[in-house]
Amino acid sequence: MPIELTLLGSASLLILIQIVVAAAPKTFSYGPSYSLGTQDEQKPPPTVFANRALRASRNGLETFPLFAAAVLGVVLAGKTGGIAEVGAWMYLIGRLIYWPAYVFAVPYLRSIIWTTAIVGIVMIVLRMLFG
Amino acid sequence: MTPDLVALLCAVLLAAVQLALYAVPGNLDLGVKYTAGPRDEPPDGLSVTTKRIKRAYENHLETLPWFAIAVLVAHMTGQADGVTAAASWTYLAGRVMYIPLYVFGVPFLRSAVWAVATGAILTIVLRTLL
Repeated sequence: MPIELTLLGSASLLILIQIVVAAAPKTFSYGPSYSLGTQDEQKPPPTVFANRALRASRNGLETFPLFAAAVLGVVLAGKTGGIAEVGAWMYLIGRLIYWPAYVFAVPYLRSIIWTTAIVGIVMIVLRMLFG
Repeated sequence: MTPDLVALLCAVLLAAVQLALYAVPGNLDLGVKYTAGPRDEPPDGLSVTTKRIKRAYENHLETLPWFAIAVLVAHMTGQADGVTAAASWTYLAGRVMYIPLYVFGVPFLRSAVWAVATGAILTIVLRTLL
């Protein structure tokens, strides 16, 4: 199996964990009856950290489909390796570090990490189009 | 590589370009101090044009996963052909035209272009299913 697919699977797992961790504080604060209910009344995440965790996980969701499409495309075209492999690593490691950087409010570095992950996606696409 | 896959990758690149198109005026409108920080307060001060660029970008993100699934399944099942290729490029062309139509506030035509692009996805899905 190409390493890019392993990285895609790992990224899925990472995003899933981030979603669950971001959702947990609400359940702890408002009780399971709120989470299990219809949530007609919108309640914000209880703390500033929970709010950041939620925004960080949403940010991950925003680019994840792009990453998945790029990886699946490069695998289908049989053009894995090279800058596609490097790009997939950049995405996964970037998204891994992004989360604590957001929750603990590390300025600028977080934006650089975010850019690294985006550039990783573009590298996979470029490998496929021109590699 | 088939034309469908090229269109899919160009659609991914388009999303990255739209993201950059939004990020630059977004940072100018809000200030780098705010955007680099943890953004604990909701953003305030985006211009009308920046907000339109943002909505056009978010609209692209909404249907791009549908498009990716349709193209990838058509390929995995060996059903990519001239029809799916034409539909893929129709989708991409529609998504490119959608941006200026949104930014310059052209009504109705923008919705028509959106419908053509979304219809192109359904064309790929139906072509693959039937």
